[in-house]
Amino acid sequence: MNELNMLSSIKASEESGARLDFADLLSRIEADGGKSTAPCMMQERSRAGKIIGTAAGIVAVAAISAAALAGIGGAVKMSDAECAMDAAPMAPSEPAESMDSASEFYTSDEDYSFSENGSSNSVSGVVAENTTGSDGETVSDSDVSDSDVSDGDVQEVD
Amino acid sequence: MIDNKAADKLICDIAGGDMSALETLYRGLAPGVFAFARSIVRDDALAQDIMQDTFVRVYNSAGSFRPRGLGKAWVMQIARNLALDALTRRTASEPEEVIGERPAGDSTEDSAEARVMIGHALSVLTDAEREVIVLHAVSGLKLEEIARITGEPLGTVKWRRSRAMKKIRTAMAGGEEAAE
Repeated sequence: MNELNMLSSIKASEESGARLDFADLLSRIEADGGKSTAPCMMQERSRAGKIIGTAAGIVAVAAISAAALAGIGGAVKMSDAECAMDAAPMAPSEPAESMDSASEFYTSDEDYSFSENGSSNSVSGVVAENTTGSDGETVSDSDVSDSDVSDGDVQEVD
Repeated sequence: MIDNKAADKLICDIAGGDMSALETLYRGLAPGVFAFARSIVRDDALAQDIMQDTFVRVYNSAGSFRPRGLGKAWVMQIARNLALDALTRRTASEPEEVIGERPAGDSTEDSAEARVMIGHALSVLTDAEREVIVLHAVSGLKLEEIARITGEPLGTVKWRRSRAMKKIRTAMAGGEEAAE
């Protein structure tokens, strides 16, 4: 007997003892009487999420468009630029959902090198490597030599 | 057989008060729920009770269900919780029915003979192995879903299934040889 037949036999054998009684089930439900009233929370949330996502998308597009218009050239009047600047701060206040989706663009490697370098100015490790802050460049044993900080200096300060 | 996607839809329909959806889900999944519960409690009557109570829970909890393509696994998880609760409650003095032994006369002689052989094969498995085999073979769950339900790593579930199949093959080969 091959594996598939074996599994089929097990299925047939194990299910055979079940006595389906839907009327009994209904009477148990009636006796229990504690039905949850919120239908399919996830589906509702999903719809709500789509609406929020769409709204966030529209706001983001509007902000980007406004920013682009503001940056087209020096011909833009000051008042127009102010309008564009007013729209720009909308972007950081987007819902958390769209921020989460944006973070998916960063790979785990980038995240790792980011935290390793400890830079707060860059997002990816590539940029972080070019900034000051690595151990070798700024604080080395040779930089802090005995001649720079001698016991005598310390005593003088004291 | 009802797949996960269909189960998701039916559970959502049940949440909306559709009793025909409950009946469809019940008729599609109840035999598997029974077999799974029976594999845990090893008692036909208790497994029957758990099967019914599982669908009462399904009906009552359908509103909090999140459809993520795991509807069948969700139902089996409810059945597992109820079966484990029943197992805990059952007093030690109650006799434990050996799996595979069923009242005579509830089926034909041929299938009864096959069931005895299957019952013998399943009896050589540990509880954890039997759980994996029944969920996989009877309830039709994927190994990933079984890992989720049992809370075990996928590798452990795969290993248990493999070892269980080896044991069943050996036991059934022995049974066939004995019959000849």
